[in-house]
Amino acid sequence: MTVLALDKVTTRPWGPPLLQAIDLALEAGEVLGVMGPNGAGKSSLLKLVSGDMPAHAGTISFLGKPLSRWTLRERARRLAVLPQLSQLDFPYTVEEVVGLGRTPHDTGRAGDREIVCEAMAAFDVTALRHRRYTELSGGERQRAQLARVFAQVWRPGERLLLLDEPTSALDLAHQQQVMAVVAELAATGCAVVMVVHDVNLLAAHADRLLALHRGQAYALGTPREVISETLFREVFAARVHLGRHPVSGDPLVLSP
Amino acid sequence: MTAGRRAEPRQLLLPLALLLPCTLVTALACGAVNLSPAEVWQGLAGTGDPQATMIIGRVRLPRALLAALMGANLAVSGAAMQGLFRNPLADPSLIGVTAGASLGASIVIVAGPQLGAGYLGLSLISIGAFIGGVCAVMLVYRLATSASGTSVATMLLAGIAITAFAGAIGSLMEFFADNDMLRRISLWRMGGLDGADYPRVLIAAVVTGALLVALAGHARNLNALLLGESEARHLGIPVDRVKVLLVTWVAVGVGTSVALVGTIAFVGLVVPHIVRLLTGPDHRVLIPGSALAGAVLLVCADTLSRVVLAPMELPVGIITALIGVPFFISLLRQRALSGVRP
Repeated sequence: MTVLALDKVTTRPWGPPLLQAIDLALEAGEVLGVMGPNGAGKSSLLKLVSGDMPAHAGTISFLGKPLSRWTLRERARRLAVLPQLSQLDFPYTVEEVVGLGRTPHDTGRAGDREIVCEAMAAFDVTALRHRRYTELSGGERQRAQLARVFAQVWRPGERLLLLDEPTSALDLAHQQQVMAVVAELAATGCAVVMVVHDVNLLAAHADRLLALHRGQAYALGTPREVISETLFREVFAARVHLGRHPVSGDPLVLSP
Repeated sequence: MTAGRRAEPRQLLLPLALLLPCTLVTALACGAVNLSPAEVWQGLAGTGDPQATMIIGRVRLPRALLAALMGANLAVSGAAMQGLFRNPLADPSLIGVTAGASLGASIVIVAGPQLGAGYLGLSLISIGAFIGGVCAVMLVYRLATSASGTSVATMLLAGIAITAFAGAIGSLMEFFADNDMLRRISLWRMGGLDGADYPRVLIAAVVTGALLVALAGHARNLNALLLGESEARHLGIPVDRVKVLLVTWVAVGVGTSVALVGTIAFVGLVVPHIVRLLTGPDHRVLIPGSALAGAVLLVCADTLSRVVLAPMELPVGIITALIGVPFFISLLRQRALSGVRP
């Protein structure tokens, strides 16, 4: 089942287009990695799909229905978003922050509690559950926000998760943990779109990659198809060496 | 506060719910003439000394009830504004309601004699203040709204601008006012509950009751809004509609309170702040907790204002500011410890 379909979508909220003629179809259970240099339109793509930015041309459909026809609440039950940066200055406990992810659902107190506990365990914040969010380190805050967003779409079914730089503040072990939870969630029918700057992390964990360049799709395909020295030269203006992961055989990108 | 667990909702709401009747009885007993609890009871039942019955029934009871209602009104309005602005140091007056109401009252006092008497037991000053407050909020809201929605940050700036503008017009009015008018304006500004009577209590009860029910109904929306506006939208909250409703309710609530008892400082700012420090930012507890704590605070402050210099009465706004400002400064100094950044 196609969870998300973009057909020639263009957005230009301030005049010049931020994204132009983007075509994309995402199946349930698929993990799409989005890469591109700063300002290529990665976050704009997520904002477009989450309804924060209007499409000025083309159509976006979510689970077979135009995105704009969904009521906010119905959509929120099937679509969760992790923004790049979240400012929260109120001393919620970690458990309360994660619990906010259940806002659109009426699964009852007991059902919510169970999901919140599972999500906290998945992101290793159970030990922090009574700590105030405002007292946490950057990485701990990011894990609490991840647990909140995942709790919103925790139960199996067709749904979509948008992650904008989910691992930017995390240490290596927690990066791997996040990728493992993403894979688990995808296995239950959730489609995932994630923007990550670490190409090697994307190559190892995404089913397909979308490379954006100046608001246009430069390449879309499996990591082996997309990652090339030409891509890095033309899109990122960077010189790299390409290798192979010694165990998995996935592409490996090294700085010279 | 940093390391310790916070209080359970019950541990705060129950004591406050018990404290409120106690402060009300104290307010009925204390004053220029002190009464015993037994006399208060007889006065309420109408079986005691006629003079005590008169003092309680006509003067102290409506006044204590009005204080409780207005305290609750200001405190929950403050809680809603702090949630909407995502700033624990926001205050209902930020959206211009207080300044607009002051201007409305000044206009009526200066132009007053030509305008005739009041309606429904309300003085024209009160009506002018209410209209002024609501108009100011509407103006602030319109200034902050564009095609892409309402910006809370712009609303804050527009509130500051409208407050300054209303203040300037108010000063202009004072410039042309005579001495008697000046004294009435300045007394009105200080706030006071001395005009309390049952029609006012009835209006206050209706508005405060509706405000409490409405804001409590928005508790989950406010909880999600603290994460940020787009985050709340992603959680299924119709953010723009919620903003309009919250601003409207706060304008009506605070407008009514300014119209009935003048400006009373710091209740709307300090009370939700203290309650949040004790039980956390969950609005499902914060709103009822603030209502009870605001009622207790204003009844106590009003009792103090009547007792300190008895038989003279201080305007209650002076007492709340005298209690509120040092407390507020200590909060500012400890904000790093309490984990709350303004």
